[in-house]
Amino acid sequence: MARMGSAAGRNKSVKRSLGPLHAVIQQSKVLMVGAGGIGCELLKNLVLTGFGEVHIVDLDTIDLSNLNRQFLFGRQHIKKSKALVAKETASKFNPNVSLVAYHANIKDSQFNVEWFRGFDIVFNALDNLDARRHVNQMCLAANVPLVESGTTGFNGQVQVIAKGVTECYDCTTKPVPKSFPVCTIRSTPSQPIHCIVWAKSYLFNELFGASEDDSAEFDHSEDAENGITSCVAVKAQEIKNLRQEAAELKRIRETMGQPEFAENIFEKVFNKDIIRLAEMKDMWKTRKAPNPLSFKYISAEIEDKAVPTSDQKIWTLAENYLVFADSLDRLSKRILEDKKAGKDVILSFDKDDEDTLDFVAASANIRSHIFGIATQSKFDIKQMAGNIIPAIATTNAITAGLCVTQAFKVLKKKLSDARMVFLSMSGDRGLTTESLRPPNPSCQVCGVARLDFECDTKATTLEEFKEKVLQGVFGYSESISLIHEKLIYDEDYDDNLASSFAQLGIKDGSFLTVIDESDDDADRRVNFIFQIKERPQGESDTPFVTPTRFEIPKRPAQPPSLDSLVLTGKDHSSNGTIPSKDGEVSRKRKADDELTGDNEHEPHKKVKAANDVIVIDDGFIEID
Amino acid sequence: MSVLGAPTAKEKKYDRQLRLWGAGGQEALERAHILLINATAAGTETLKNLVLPGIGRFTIIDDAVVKDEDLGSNFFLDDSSIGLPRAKKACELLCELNPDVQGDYIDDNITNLIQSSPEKLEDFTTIIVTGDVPVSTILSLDSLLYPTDIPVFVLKCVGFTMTCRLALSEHTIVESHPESTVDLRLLKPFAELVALYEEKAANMDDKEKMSTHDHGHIPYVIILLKALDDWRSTHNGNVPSNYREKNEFKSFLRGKMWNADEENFEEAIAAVLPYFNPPSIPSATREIFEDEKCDKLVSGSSDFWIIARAIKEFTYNMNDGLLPLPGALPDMKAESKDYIRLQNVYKSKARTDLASVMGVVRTLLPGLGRDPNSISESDVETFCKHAGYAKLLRGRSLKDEYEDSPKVKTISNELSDPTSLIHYYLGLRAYEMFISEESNSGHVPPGTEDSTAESDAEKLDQYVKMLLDKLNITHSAELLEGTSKAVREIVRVGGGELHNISSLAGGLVAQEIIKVITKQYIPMNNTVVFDGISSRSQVYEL
Repeated sequence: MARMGSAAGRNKSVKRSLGPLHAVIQQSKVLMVGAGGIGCELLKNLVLTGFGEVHIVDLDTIDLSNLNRQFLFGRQHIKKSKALVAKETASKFNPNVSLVAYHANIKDSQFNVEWFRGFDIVFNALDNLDARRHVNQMCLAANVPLVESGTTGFNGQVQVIAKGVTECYDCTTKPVPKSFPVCTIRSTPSQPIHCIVWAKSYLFNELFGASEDDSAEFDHSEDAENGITSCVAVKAQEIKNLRQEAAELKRIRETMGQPEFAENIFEKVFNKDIIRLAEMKDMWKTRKAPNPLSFKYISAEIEDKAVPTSDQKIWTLAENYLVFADSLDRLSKRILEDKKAGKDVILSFDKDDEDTLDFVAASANIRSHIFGIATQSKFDIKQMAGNIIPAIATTNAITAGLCVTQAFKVLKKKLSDARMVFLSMSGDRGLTTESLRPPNPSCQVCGVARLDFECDTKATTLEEFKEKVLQGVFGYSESISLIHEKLIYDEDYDDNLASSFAQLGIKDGSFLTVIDESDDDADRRVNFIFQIKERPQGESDTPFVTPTRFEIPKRPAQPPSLDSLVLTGKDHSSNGTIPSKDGEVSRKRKADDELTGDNEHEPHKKVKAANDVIVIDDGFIEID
Repeated sequence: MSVLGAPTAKEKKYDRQLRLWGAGGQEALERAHILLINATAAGTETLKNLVLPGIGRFTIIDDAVVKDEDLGSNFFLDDSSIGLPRAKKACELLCELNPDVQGDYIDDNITNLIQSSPEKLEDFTTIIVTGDVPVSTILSLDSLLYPTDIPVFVLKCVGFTMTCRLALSEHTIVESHPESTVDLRLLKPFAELVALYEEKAANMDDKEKMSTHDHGHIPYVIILLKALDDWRSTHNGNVPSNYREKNEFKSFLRGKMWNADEENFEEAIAAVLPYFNPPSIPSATREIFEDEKCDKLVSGSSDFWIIARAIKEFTYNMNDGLLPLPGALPDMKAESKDYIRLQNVYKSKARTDLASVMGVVRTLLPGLGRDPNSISESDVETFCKHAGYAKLLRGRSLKDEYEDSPKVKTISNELSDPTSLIHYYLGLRAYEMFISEESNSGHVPPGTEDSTAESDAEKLDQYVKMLLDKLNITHSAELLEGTSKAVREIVRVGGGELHNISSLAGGLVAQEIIKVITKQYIPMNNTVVFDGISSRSQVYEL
């Protein structure tokens, strides 16, 4: 057994490189959110640089497709917690660093503002918009600097966020989730992605999963900001027809396991429904009508043909049918076996579950064939259906290295030296480095006032809070709205005044936002967020600690136009990287896709194609 | 249960990268055998980023034993490694990253290997030099390898600073992954495209014969072709060629709109600037066509040059000076059936062009002593699609940089800019001279001892001046202020590595190596300098 390395020897280089900063780093306590591609690199960097205490939070488990870059994991770790395994592996490389891992969601209530305050710096190594925004918000609330980073393929970026000094993550608009009108998906597809969404979010769910009405992929809201066009002109009759079709499919679902199951489904969705659709002459005045496919025709085609084995080659119609029937069989068996065992009998689409992917790929291609749309290889369908972003070790290594150089500036308290760094494939430069920009005064996330509010949530009523705190201390008028997750009070909605905070779901760690609705623009103050801290009321106590008055800034008169922000190239996709030519591919023929007809405004539904944005890079569609 | 058409476990593991460089790129990686000279932190980090995506093999040559301070910067050495050969221990830990990769080590130093068996170097497909290797050894490697087309990457990483130099005499890239390969041929439409627009746009200006709906759905390519036709008839047969005329043409298009919200016309207007360029052969492609290797094919010519030659012949002899059509069509406002028809016109022209090029390839091959079918149609197709984006890099040897033809102008221009990263380049050249001194047989880095740090720095200052004198670059204390600062920064760390910088360097270098091995994307040519204090990088051709 060789002797142990001495701490002095180990630290020799890093001490010389960093000088006095090294002692600060050894004393520091940092949080790393996400232990994936960037996370593995970052943790290795933090451990070897000698950061004193590193906390790791990740909800995810390890998958085979992680192993081409997430080097703290091996095959033996598949399905285990990323956070716990990362801690285990990395701790061997520096005994002087203490690591704490949580296999948990960063949005859990245990990770409250108080907890965030315990860190000197936070690193985001995440892969989704929602968690990024959450951590951004928490760091602002706790006033802890955040190093935000992200990668997509060869592109990456690092940004330092410090409350009141720099832009926050939400100071610039982020691309919104891509979605399609339901009529495009159900009636008038014109692109492969429409058929893939149909197969994944409609057909698959109707047969094996939660059906349309319960599915999260279907967006019922009318949020116009999402850039979704609705089917304004869908006739009442057509909505009724679509519901009818779904109901019929549910009945066929009951015949699962019977020999004619595949035939029944095929006849229904690729023949009967299409015939009905093709009969709607109005719809096909300006586009090519679909051609129904009969089961009889397809069964004659498949004689002696073998099920295809390549996922990169584009399958023929007959091959698609073979995969369709075969995967349907595999999925049915799974459902029936589960049913026998008395288990939950719902399947959900998973890009890494071959049975579900085969079914979606084959069904999407058969539908494309019917509508005269180009069919795709399974490899490409996987990318589109599974929201796959290319990811490689090199980009993560560069990005994580930059995160640490930026953290040095933060810990040295030299924010003015911190930079925003982009990396891209361009062969002439490598990195692009820019100064950090000041906060956007109109930002709804960082351009606000904040206050820790200590109270007994069971004893504090909304009315008391409004009168004694908002009006009494801060001088608000009656023209305000209060928001906690949803609107809980405004001038015309006073139903909750008598309720306690607890009854309204406001608890320790909750945020309660006050919006000034005064008529006079010049007088309106920025949003005011009360960060709730539970303080049980003692015998002679008041229900809450009355805060001291302070001046809440006025809202900026002229919010800068969002366009000007976007044009400077500071708009990042949810994976944190440089802007995409988002969604252009699928929106161009949108108007054409809308059903024509009278102007009867029916409640319309929207289908979300993906959980997040679509990025087009060199012909690949990447969806986070 | 057998899963049909299922990707193998390997394909699943590499799925996220296959989406960047495809099966062809992956095969190239798997054929690679990489030599790492010295298992420094930056060196092992580079290998890590190559082992993870699955190169075939690697070998580490290093005669150092593992010391305490290695553990502070090198992730691929642990406590149990202390006192043991660094090559062996790093190899072991790197092998754990990916069971599909074979790792070997040689417990020796590169200078010995070059003397004893230089032929062994030709077993490798790529060579990475790191650590404190003397100039003479680097130049010997260069003289052995530069003529063989084996790429050599020289990586220097000290404290917050790094440089990486690629020495490779010739590098050809077909799949450069441009943002778009769209070529609409608006100014030189082919016959089928002419026929289509004459049919579809005949009544574009006739409200009697065309409905408002149809007018709002004419694909913008058709609108532009028809409008160009009209323009020519009133402009002596000329097309709008300069900025002013293009703007006039835009107004002309606007005049053809029937109402203000015709999206297809807006698209047409937006396409005028990007797509109204007279068809020409990009200079990078012309360089390929004009290269001697394209003109003088020999039996050993690579497929790249044979296909390039076929495309050249097609372009000049069969296609009126136009490259083969890539065939891609951007999305646009149109009725689906019209869009598909237009798409088919472009696609079928691309197929016809491909068939012609393929024909030339087949006639060329027998003359080179090869089977006429020994180049696959898919390779020719890929080249045809990228004909306007292919690239030839002619590199410079280290001997060129150090002795034969140094880039005097680049260096002297940069020198006057105090924020230029050339100061770090010069600092590291001086560092290299310091460790190469004959009296410094152990290649001890400057600044190793605190007590001699300042005198070491002054020595480096002298080396910088010697270097500039040799290049006949005039210098002054003022000009050398930046260099002097860089020198002190380099000396301060005594040759030590800072892990996050080494890790970043390992990412940058591995990325360049992957580009070179897969022959996809355009590598940085030929020196990248990174400064971790300002987080900036710069690329120089030196």
